[in-house]
Amino acid sequence: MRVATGGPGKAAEFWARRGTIVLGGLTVASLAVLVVLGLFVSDPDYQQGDAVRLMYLHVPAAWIAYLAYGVTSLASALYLWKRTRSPAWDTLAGASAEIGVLFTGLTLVLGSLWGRPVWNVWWAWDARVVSTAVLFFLYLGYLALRRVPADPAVRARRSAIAALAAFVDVPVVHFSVEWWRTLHQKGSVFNRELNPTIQGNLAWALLSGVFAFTCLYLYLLERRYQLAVMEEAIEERALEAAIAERRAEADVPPVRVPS
Amino acid sequence: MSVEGGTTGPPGLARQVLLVAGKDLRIEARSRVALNQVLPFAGVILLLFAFALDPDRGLLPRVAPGLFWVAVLLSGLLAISRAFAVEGENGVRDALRLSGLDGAAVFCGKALAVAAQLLGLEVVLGFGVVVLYDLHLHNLVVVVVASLIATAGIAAAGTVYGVLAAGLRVRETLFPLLVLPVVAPVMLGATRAWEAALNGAPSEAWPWVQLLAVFGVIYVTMGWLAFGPLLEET
Amino acid sequence: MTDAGYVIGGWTLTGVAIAGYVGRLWARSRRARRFLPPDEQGRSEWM
Repeated sequence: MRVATGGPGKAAEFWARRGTIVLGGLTVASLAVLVVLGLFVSDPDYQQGDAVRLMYLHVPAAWIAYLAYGVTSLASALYLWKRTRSPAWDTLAGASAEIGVLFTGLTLVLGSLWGRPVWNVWWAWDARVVSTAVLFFLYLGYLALRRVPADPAVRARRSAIAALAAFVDVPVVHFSVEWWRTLHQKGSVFNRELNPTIQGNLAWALLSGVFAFTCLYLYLLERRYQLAVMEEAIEERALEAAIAERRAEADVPPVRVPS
Repeated sequence: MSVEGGTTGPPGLARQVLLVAGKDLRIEARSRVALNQVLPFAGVILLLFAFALDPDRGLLPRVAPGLFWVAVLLSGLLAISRAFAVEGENGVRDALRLSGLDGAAVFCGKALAVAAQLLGLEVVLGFGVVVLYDLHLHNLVVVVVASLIATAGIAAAGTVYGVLAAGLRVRETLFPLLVLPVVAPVMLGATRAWEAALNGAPSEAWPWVQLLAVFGVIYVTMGWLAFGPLLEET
Repeated sequence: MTDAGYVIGGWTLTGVAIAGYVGRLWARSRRARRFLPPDEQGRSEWM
């Protein structure tokens, strides 16, 4: 198998299984707390009213998106560095990027839904909005590249370089868009503050959102990673079976296998 | 490096770069794909923009810098794709690998050839924008400097992603998706720099030129480091 | 639409998206497990 799942042995396996279960339980519990705090306990904002309740999802989703891309970049760098090269980093990078794209998409949609009641527009050409959108497409491209079938080692190296090439673009995109939006027209839609001063139980709701989404990210990452490991194993088995078949064909003496 | 036959060692890096760039440009000069297909395509884009934004409304001269760079990017994509399509034919890729040329030199050579084609494209498109969109050029130095640096950035990033996607069956569709978000800052920076220069505020252009330069440096470095390993695969 | 409508819409959408993703992972994992012997099945616990 290409990716070692067993590792040091049964004890590690036991605790890893335990870890998944604990993480899953924690995720569900913290999401439940988020729903209670975010939708029922926390007060409406003095400016935005109830619309602020979208922040408890929007901000954590954006945080997870950035965290996920950070993990992808780190894992890709570790794959490219010869001393730490392991197929596991490649698998991790792919798993994390997929979750990152999911949460970037969620961030954009939630931001749109939040912007409509607060700013009166579905889409504001705000610097952060635009750079998030560019990020979304950058990593969609990365995922598309990953999906192209190729030899695992070749694909891993290609993907790792693509991930880093996308990552170094992120600050450039950020600054260019930031300058663009600040040097030119001042946003007319921002007569209300972008970041309302957060106080009291609003902060707790937001904090619980960040915590719940972080647990959710780790849980999803672990699940996605396991799935990728299994799918790689299946691919490998299919390849081995095909090779065995060819060998068997070649062993039959009188029939000449056309090349 | 591989062992070279003959009495002299491998040619110097600069010479290798020129060899690769010369090879690509020679192929281009003989096949004339850029001349006969990419340039007309760029011209059609200019016409289409005029159809979309009615020339009578006076909008065209104001948005001309943006349209110019969109046209450069879209037609440039074709030129870059082409630069890697020629490698796919007749096992040129293998020959390049066997030639013992340094990966970084191959990268610089290909990027140089792409940049040369882009520059040609920009000259023609710039002429087209001036004539068709009634754009008045001021502060030509800023415009030219910004364009040169932006071209270097597009060529470098395009070459990095070109080799990433080269040899894949889905290359034609994957390459634009990969490269366009990446060069979005170039599009933004070059357009703003042009606008600043044409509106008579060249000092506002320099931050953008700096941004373009940073982008160029990043992707030239990226290609310099990554091209060798990428060329070896498939 | 009132503010509450946007809030409910946003929260519902988030729930659906996350549940959908988890569901897809679960289905794909179950299918993958069918093709593999027990020692290569990875960790099957979901909760």
